[in-house]
Amino acid sequence: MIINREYFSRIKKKSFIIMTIIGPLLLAALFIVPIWLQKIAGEDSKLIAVIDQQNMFNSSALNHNANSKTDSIFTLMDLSRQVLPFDEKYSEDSVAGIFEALNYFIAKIDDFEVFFNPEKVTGVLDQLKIKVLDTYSKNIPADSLKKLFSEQYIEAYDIIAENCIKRDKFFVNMIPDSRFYKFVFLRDVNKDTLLAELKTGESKYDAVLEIPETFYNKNFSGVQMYSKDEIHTGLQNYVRLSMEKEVERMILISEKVDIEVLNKARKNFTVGFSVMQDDGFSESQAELKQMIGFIAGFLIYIFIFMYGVQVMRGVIEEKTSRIVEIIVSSVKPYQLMMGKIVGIAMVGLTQFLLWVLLTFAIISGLKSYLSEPAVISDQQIAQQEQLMNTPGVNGVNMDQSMQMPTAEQSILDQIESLSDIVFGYVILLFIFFFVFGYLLYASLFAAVGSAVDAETDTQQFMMPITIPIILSIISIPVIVQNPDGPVAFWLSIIPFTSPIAMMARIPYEIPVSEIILSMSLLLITFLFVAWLSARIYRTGILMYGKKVSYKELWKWLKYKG
Amino acid sequence: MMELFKAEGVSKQYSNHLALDDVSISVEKGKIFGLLGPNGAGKTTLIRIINQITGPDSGSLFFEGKKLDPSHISRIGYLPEERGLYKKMKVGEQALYLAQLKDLPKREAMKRLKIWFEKFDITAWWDKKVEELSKGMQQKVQFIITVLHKPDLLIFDEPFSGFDPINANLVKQEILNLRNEGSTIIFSTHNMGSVEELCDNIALINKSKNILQGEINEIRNKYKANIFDIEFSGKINLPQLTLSSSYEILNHKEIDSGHKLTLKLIENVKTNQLISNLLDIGNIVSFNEQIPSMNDVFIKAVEETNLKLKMEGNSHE
Repeated sequence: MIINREYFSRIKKKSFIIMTIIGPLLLAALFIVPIWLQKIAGEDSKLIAVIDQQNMFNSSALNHNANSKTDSIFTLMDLSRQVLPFDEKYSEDSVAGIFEALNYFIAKIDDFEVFFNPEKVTGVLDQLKIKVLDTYSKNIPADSLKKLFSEQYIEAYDIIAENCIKRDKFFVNMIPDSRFYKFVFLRDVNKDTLLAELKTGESKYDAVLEIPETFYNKNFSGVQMYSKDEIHTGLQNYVRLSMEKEVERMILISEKVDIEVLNKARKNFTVGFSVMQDDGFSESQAELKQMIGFIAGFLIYIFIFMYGVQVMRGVIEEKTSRIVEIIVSSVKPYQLMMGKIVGIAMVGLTQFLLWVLLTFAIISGLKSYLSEPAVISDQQIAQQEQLMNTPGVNGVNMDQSMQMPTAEQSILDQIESLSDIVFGYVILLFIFFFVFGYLLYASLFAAVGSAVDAETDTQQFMMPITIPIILSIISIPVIVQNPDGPVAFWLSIIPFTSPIAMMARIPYEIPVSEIILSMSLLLITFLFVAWLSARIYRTGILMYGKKVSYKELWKWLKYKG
Repeated sequence: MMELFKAEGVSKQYSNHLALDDVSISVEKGKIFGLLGPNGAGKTTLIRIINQITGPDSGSLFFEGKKLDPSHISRIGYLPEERGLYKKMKVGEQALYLAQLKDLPKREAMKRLKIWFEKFDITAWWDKKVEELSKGMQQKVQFIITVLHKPDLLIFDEPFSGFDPINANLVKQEILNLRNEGSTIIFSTHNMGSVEELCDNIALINKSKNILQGEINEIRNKYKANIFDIEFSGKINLPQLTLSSSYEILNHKEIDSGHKLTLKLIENVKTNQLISNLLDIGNIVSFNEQIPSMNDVFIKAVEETNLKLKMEGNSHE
């Protein structure tokens, strides 16, 4: 009867219905909103101008055709060819000019040595130089000299080209575009006018990144980003990470590390984590387990608090409205207390089950909607894969925000792929620990409620009750990190912290004996605490207008029924 | 005479005081039993023990000759002094719920509730929330809930508090009806007027002890102070009135038609002797012995015991 009343009077409340509906919506929103936000954010990307004085970071600038990065190295050759006056009339001056050009070329090679294996190229060029000198000294007529020189040059060109073509993949934008940021590389622009434009808002750019001429020489310092608005950390990190990678690569190359070796070393590295099963191995799902542990522990925490306090309020309400004396003339105080606790527990379970059902309904109902973001994710995966396959920029894109959607996807997939047995096991234990953890605390809350006249007086008794709950909730991160450690073990055995702590541990297959120990301790403690609380309750509910101390409570415990 | 309920030597100790000290009461079947006493005397504790809300430290309780046990709970109806209802719950729903707690089947409870609600003219309140009701209205509902399961023993603790005179009278009539239908009633109040009106027997508890018990008229007679109201018509023989040594004059008032006198008889003087003395004084129109009101009895009894206790306390020192 009492259970019925407690149950139905609460179920019918508006707040219960609202919470039941809003709960799953919030949970579902937790999954969907980030994906949705990604979608919106993706449509609005920032345009950033890069003033790269040395053209270190933009290989495409070397090319006349910015889109064709593959033959950037030939641009280098072209540059020198422009200097070399092949098409001009051959003369002594011209020969001198050739030397000048060659020297320039070699110097330029030094400048750009970071882009390829410089020794080989300078070697070729040195040979070319010797040959030219040799030919020149033999007093060969100018025409044939020119011809010879051209042949020699083309030969050298071919060797260099051959050497460089192999490395064409090397040349990508050093700061690659992402979904949020687009980089435009500028040369020979006036930084001051650009910044002035930026300031007045006339500029089409959102920010300007300046890489100074002295960047390479002066220990990679002096890079500066300018923006009218605050530069958010996402962009800051993106630029920093991209450049860091690139500088690291430059240094390695300049220290004569072979590009092939470098690319090999820059493999996208994955480790398979396997857990031994009866029938072979299964992929580790530590992340998922961590998440389940977190959610389960947190749910128990919320439920204990929410419904425990409801029990307390209910007791105080009965006490202050003085209906309690009418009721206890019909039923035993113990029955009234347990009826209230069990009734509210059923409310909690109902709400929990409705949440689970509705959340799954909403999530599966939104599958169709979700499939849309899934396409975007696929694109992103493709994009990422492409970038990862590109040597040199590996991991640059490991930007947190970019990772999110795929992570979401994979977790959803993991949940689906998680075997039903483990899931059922976790849910069963969850219900056990939820019910008994709640019962334990609810009886304490009931005792507190009975001892006071108004909710404002509950503070002094609430403290010792809330401390173990708070303790277990703040130790959840420790527990999920090391579920077999001593902290996790003891917290999950001690009855007052075990409901939350054990739930955080359960997803990791912990010994059944420990679970049984924890469960039986919890059960025994509950029975004992319920008995104690009932004694306090019995006296407390009929005690009006009296400030109660712990000493008083101790006396109540000793009264005869 | 048959006892419905009996308590023998009941004591109850709370941490720092003795709430009941060897209290025995006996409640006759079909009578209204007044349980009286000043505030904090231990009445509520005794009532709670009868209702098995708490247990006594020592002593025994009997219901129809058998030891009181939980099966008797549904045969007792209790209207506590500190009473209330769930504020947010609807009146009808709540009445049904509380009736069911007393093991009354839902259908039967519904039927009886309808009758009682009509009787008290509150049918319209069925679907209202309790917090919308006035205090008097709530009291009516509580009264109905108490008597609904037709208990053999009814316990009313200050049943009239919060009622206007009309409704108090209504409730009074209902209490008498219930007694006439065979219910036994324990009635606890500070309103001595209603005690005189309703109670057949009383017990007076003071300082945790039962100091006075018995049939109400017997008790009142026991506390008679030998005071008489006499009215004479016409003239009286004043010198002779003052001469007599068998009484002292407490009050003398001349009225239009004659004289009104209040006399206190000296101890050991018989009433007849007084009358014969008075015959010479004038023409007696009325002669009444003053029977003390319950109010007087209450005050006197309580003061006597307090004085006794105080003296005992002094002699201890």
